[in-house]
Amino acid sequence: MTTYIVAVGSYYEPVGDELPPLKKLVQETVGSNIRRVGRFIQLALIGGGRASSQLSNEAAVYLTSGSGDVEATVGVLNTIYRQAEPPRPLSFINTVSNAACFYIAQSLQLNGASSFVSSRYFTVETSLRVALLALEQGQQKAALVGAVDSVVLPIEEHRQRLRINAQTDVAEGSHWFQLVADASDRTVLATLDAVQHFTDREALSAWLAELPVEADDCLALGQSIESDEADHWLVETGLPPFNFREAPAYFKSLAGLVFCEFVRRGAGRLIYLNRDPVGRYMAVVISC
Amino acid sequence: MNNVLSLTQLKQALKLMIIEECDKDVEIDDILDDEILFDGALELDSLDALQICMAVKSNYGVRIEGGPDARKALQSITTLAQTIIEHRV
Amino acid sequence: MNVTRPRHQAVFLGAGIHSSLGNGVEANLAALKTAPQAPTLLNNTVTDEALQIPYKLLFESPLTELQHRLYRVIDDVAEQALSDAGLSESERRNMSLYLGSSSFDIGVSEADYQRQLAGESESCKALALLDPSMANLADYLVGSLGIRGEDVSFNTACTASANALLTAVAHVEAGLIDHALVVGVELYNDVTALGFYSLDLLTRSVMRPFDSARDGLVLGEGVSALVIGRDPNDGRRRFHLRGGANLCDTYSITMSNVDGSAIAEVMTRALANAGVSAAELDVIKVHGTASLANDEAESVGMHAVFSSLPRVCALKPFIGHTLGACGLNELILFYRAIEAGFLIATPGISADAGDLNVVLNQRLSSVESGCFMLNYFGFGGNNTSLIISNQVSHYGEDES
Repeated sequence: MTTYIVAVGSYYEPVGDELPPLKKLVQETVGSNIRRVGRFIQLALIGGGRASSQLSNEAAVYLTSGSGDVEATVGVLNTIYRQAEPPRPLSFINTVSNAACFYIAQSLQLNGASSFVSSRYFTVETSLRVALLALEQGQQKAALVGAVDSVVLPIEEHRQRLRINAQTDVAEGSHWFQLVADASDRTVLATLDAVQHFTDREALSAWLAELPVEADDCLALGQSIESDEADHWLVETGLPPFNFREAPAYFKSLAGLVFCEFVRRGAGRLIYLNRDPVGRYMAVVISC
Repeated sequence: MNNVLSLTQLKQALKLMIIEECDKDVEIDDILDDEILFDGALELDSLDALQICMAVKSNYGVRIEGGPDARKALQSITTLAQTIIEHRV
Repeated sequence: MNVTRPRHQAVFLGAGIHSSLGNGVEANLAALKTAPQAPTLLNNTVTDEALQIPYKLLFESPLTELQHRLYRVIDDVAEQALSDAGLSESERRNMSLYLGSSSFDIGVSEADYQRQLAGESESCKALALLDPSMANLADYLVGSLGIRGEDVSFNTACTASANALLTAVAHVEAGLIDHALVVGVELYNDVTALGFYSLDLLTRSVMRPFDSARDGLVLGEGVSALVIGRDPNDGRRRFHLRGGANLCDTYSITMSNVDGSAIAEVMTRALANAGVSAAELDVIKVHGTASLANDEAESVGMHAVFSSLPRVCALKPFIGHTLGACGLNELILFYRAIEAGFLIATPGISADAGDLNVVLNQRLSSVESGCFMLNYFGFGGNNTSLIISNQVSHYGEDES
């Protein structure tokens, strides 16, 4: 069976020394002012809201993040250890990352399943895989899948926290996909053909060898693949790389931006590969 | 110190505190001294009540215990200010 | 259900647990036959005033060297489950990991930040939450167990490990993997302890779910692991997940709607998913946080679905509320107790119908086989209902 991408929604903004306010954007996107939420939840509401056109109220929500709601957690840690006070109730509640799912469900009036899922090196891939399998197995009919990463200033501390070097440009990102099993009354943007896990490089190579190549295929490689390995995969697959108009700034769930960009271009098939440090791999295939 | 003035100041500070702690999109002057805080136009809920109690304790060193005492103290800005003045050491 | 792949029955092959009751399934079962104990009052000296936080800490595992303690306990509990299931080296390598928690390794981040703060200076500022990811703990287990399958971490507050189990079973049933290791983790940390203190939800006595005298919850530590795989068809009757449902209730981020509608809906969906009628259900394991409003909502929801309630039992008086790990902790204790010949009882707690009209099981009675509902309702309005059974396969004869 086929799983369709019928909407994408995104927020992407490189960050300098200041963070743009989001409250107004949230209000414009979901139609009401949501109080008692921080930046992470605001980003989730903006991205999720932008992908929510004609969304079924039974749709499941799968949210992921590379770093989670750092602002909320750091805030609580500072209240406890620097101010020596118990955390405020509202701050503590928002450290439970499913808080973002709650506000999405509440503002989009959803009552289906809702999960925060993640994997350290395969953030976006894992959320798409869990959602795709739930749709393929008939447990869900529609899903809103998104990846959110925020920046907590000062920017030097953000880089230090994420262990990236001082020259790296950083961004905030919230990228969402509306998936449906039955697209009969919808405009289809793309199909999510596969999200596969591989125990090692040989397993991935064997799978790629079996994958029939089409004329307009292109290859995208994940954040954990170094440049020399990237060259290897370009040669092995013989596919042209998927290129951005300009190189995006760093955030952990960058794959979300790659997939949104590809779907928006609306042509061809994307084969995306990523790995983790122990040499497990994942592949995502999207056709427009 | 002028007690009348300090009470007015305290009430203003409490209004600002509630707006900030509960992330309400209203101005200080929108909250009346004797307006009902909960189940009223301000739309505060039980989570806001806990938040306000913690903030009062942090800012004024006054602990508002749960139950009927809390309900009485959190009735309005006036009753909250009175509770703080009565219990402040 | 619209199934496109051949389905394989997934059964519970092996379990491990370390809770406040003991380390290992047997030790836990032995303690479940005695009366629930009051919590330890933990002195928390981090904040200005001396606070006492009621807690049920891991049995014989002092709160020292928190990082080492966390890794040691999850390695040990995972090994208990894997040995119990008799998984071979290659099966262990190829299995996938599904981990549920509400706090993961935040205790490690806390200890690190405190260390940095102790040595903080003008030139060297302490930085909280280095290298953050909800999946750092799963990543540790992937390394320590040499897992080559995938890992998925679930953070849905009190339903986290129940939701991890739902996904793990679905993946095994779909034939994607032969074995899944499901892990629930909840260990002491200041954020959780002080956060619940701030929410004013804690009691110092034994939790009394549904009882007219209920006055709050006790936090509990607990780590558990469950191996799921295809039924080896070796003649042994094994427990399996027969169905379940997860739904979001947007009434309030900390409270269920007291009209019970959202809770009734998730239970109804779980029954439909399992193909079981309310009348066929033998026992309900309640969520039962012993808070005034949430127990009321749970009670109203149960009465809406069941014209008369089947037997009802509660686990939290014994192990406390183990938050993200409670899904798996309570499932393992529940099904292993039934396999050992008894239904968990909480004498003296909700012995009479009371204002909520729920009576908890009072005596260690025996249950041989049946269908059992396990309910979990969490912060963020995340509600999950599981139906487990040890009855003969409902998959019929078409096993592939």
